[in-house]
Amino acid sequence: MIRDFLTVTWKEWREQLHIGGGKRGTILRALFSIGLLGVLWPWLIGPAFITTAVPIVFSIATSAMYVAAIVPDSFAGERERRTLETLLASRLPDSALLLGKIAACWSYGYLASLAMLAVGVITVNITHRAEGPFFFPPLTLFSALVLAALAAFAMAGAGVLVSLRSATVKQATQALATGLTLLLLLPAVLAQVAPRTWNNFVDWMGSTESPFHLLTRLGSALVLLSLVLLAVARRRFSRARLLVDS
Amino acid sequence: MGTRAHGERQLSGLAIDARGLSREFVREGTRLTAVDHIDLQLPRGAIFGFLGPNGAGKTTTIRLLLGLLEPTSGSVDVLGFDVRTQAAQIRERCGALLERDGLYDRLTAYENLQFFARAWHLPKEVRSARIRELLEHFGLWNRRNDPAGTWSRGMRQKLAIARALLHRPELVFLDEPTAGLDPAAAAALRDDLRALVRTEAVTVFLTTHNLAEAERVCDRIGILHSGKLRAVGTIDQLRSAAGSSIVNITGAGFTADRLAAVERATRVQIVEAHETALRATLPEPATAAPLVRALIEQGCDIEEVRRDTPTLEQLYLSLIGDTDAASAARGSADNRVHRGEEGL
Repeated sequence: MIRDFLTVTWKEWREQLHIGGGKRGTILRALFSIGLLGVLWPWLIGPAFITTAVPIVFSIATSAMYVAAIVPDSFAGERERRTLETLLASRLPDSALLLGKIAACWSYGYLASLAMLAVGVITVNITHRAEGPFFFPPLTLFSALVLAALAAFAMAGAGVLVSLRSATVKQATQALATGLTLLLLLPAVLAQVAPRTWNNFVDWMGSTESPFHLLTRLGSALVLLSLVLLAVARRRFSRARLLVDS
Repeated sequence: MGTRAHGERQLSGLAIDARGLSREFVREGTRLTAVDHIDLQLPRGAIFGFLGPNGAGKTTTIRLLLGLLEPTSGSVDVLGFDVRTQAAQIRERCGALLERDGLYDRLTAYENLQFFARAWHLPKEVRSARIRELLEHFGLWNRRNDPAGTWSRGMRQKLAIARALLHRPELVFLDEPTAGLDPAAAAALRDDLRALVRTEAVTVFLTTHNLAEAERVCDRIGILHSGKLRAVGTIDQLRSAAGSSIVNITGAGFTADRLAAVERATRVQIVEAHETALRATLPEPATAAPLVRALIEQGCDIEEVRRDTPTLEQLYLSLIGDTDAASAARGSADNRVHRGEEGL
C-alpha cells in the first residue's frame, strides 16, 4: 500500500515538474514565485515578517494557495487528458490513488510554503542586516509549520473532492475558486447577519496573542475539516462512478 | 519479447468465463442495455477478436471484464477470479490498451513506462531492463527522453502497447491496437501477438474494426451487436454455421434452354452462366446435390462444384443485420471471385 501510494505521488510530482515546457519552464516559475513571495513581500514587511504572527498567516496562506493551484488537475486533469481509464485499469488500489494524489498536492504546497519562509528569513536578514540577525521565535515557527501543513492538507482534501466530480480542470478550478470566495466572504456575511455570534467567535479566537492558542484552535479546526474531507473523498471515490461520469 | 520472469503460468482453465453478463445504464430516466446477456467462454492462450460496430458494447464489456464496472446481472470470472469481488486480483494480472492510449503527455516515454512498472511492482533491477527491451523492440529507445505529448499517433500507440505488455500480463486487452500504425508496424505487431501467445501463453482480447486483421490473427471471434453476442467461435466454425448459398460449377453444355429447365425443376436461381461455367444461388438451406443432379439430367457435363466461402466481412455484415452493406460487400466479394476464375 505504501509503495503504491509513493508510486502515485512520484508520478504526480514528475508531471508537476514537467509543466510549462520542462526544466527551463519549471525554473522560471519557481524563480517568479520566490521573487514575489520569498523576496518582495518579506522585504516590504521587514523584521515583522519574522518577529510577529505574520509568518503563521503567511505560511497558511501560501501553502493553501500552492495546493489550490495544482489540485484541480488531480482527477479532472486525468479525465480531461483521457488518462483516467488507463490509470483505473491498473493494479493501483483506490486508497493509493486517492491518498497519493492528495499527498502530492499537499507536499507541493507545503514545501513551497516552507521554501518561501526560508527565503523570506534570508531576505529580511539581508535587507535589515544592521538590525539583525532575526529568526522566528520557536513557538511561532512551530505554529507556522504545523498550521501550514494542516491548511495544505485541508485544501488538498477539498480540491481532490472537487476534482473527482469535475469534467475538466477549468470546471474544477472554477468550483474551487467559488468555494474559496464564499469561505472568504463568510466572516463578512456572519458579521452582518449574526454580529453577536461573530464577535464572540473573534473574541474567542483572539482571546490571547499567544501563537499556542492559535495553533490549538485553528489547528483543531483544520484537523477536523481535513478528516471530514478525507472521509467524504474516500466515500465518493469509486472506479465505476469515475468512469461513468467521464 | 523476452522470456517469462514470474514462473510458469497455469495453462488450464478459462481466461474468461461470462454467463448471462449484462450491464444497464440509466440516462435521463431511460434504461439502456449496453451489454445484454453475454455468454462467453474463452480458453487461455488464445487471441480472441471482439468485433462489432461503434456503440455495440465492446468498451463496456472490457470495462466489465476488468472489474471497472459492476455487472447489472450475470456472472464473470476472469483468470479464475470473480469480477464482483476480486477485481483487484484481475487487474493485477491484466494489461490494457483501452480506447485512448492513456499516456501522460508531460512525462517522457521512459517515465510513462517507469510509472506503470512501479505500479506493477516490477523489481528495480528488472524494471529498467524490461523498459529498455520493450522500447528497443518497438524502435522507440532513441526517443525515450522525449515527452510522449510530442510523439506521432503511431509512436504513441506503440508506447501504449509496450505499457500494456510491460508486466507480462496473463491477459491483455487491446482496443484497436493497430489504429494509427503504418502497415509494416501493424504486421510486426500481429507477429508479436502471435509470438506472445505461442511462447508465453498470454491470452489476448482484441477489438478491431479491421476484419482482415482479425481473420489473420485471431483464433476465435465474437461478434457483438446492440449489446448482444451474435456469434462466437473459430472462423471456420462461424463459416460453417453461416454456410453459403452461392455455388460455382464448371463443366460443359450449359445452354440457355437447359438452364431454364434446371431453374424450373430446382428453384435454383442461375446468377450467371457461360457455355463452360455457371454461378447459382441455392434456396436456403440447401445442398448443391439437387442442382448437380438436374444439370446432369439435362445433359450437362460437370467437372467441378465449389461453394463460395464467406469472408469474415460477409459474416460480420450479415450478423449485424446491415443488409444494404451486406449486399454491397457480397457484391464486391463476388466480383473478387469473378476476377479470380477463368471463364466466369
